[in-house]
Amino acid sequence: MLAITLILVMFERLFNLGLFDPARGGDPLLYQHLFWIYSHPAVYIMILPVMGAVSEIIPTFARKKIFGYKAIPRREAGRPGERVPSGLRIPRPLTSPEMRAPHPPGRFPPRSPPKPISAGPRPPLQVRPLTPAPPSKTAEQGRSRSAVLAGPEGFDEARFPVSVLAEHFQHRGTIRAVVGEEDLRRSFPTEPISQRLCSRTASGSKLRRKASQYSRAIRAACDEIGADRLGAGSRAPRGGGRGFGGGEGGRCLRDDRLRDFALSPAKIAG
Amino acid sequence: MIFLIVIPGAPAVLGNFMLRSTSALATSPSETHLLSWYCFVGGALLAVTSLFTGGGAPDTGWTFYVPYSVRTTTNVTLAVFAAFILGFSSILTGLNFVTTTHRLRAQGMSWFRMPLFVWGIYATAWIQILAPRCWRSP
Repeated sequence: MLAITLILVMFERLFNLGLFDPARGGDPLLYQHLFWIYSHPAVYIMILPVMGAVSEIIPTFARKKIFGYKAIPRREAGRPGERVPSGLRIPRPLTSPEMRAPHPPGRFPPRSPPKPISAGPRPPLQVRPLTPAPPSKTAEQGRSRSAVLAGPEGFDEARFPVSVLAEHFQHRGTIRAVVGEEDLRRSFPTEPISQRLCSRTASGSKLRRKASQYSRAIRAACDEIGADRLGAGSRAPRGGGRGFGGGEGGRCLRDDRLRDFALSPAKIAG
Repeated sequence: MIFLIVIPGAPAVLGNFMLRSTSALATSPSETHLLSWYCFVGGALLAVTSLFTGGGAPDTGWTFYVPYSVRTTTNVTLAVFAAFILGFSSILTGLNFVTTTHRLRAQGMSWFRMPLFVWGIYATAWIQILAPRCWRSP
């Protein structure tokens, strides 16, 4: 509307059409009518963002929820299931799926199911060497360090004696060993602790059934978590935490003697 | 001042920075955004040029009321054309914000979770689209 009005003014000046000249049948008020059809909404162009900003600033500093929030957008857009005049509704082709079917208030929309991970080559195991601990005065402070000793494919029996493992699976520790089921079976074929670990790990847990739907890499990770569920303790709350079922995917072994069993960078590289 | 600063400035500045930070990852589409900026720069250059060329700065006030704007010897024609170009910038800005609000909201940001500021920008964008030109309301 503004463009039409301004073009008329330009034509009036350039070609002397007489659109706004009463002497030639025009009307000066025509310009004002046309101009204010635009300029009245232009007032809201200026004030609406400011009103929106103020309606965010005041509740923020007042630490109160704004009153009547839903009344404003509902008048703006309408909502399925409500009797809103059709003129106030935004045309359906322009709306997003969220607008056509809004979620219940107070809840986030349901997440889309995770994409299945394609089976592929097993990712390299992340093994990091034991970081040197800062000098500590007490033994308690010295226990705060952690490192991954071995993974499902990197378990070294010579470096992890059965006695140490059997003892320290029952304790938290400075060193976190990630031990998989295959490693346990291979490393301790006759040890009772190994059989107990393997039976507990493999005994029909939800974790294992769920893991069977995913790739081999995920199954390996679940093996680690399954080993972690045997009660030796983990850093994360049991049942909470990340990934499948909780825990950090490894046992926490607490003993300063295990520092010597950490993998060296050369061995990791090799 | 009105056509060059106030009307494009409030939604453009507030929208580009705050709409992005509150609801969307980016404004979209970038071509519309850029064309809006070019129209604004072109209109601004013409408006500034109209102050120093022709018969001098327009003396009609921001409304360009007739009959004075038709009879005056100042450079009203160029100033009016500048406002005409600035109107395109406003339309493109409105299109950009409507598109952004519809398509680029963050995950979980449903319509009735949007801040009222975003609703204000959104309503302003529709006004910007519909008011400067005589378009049929959808």
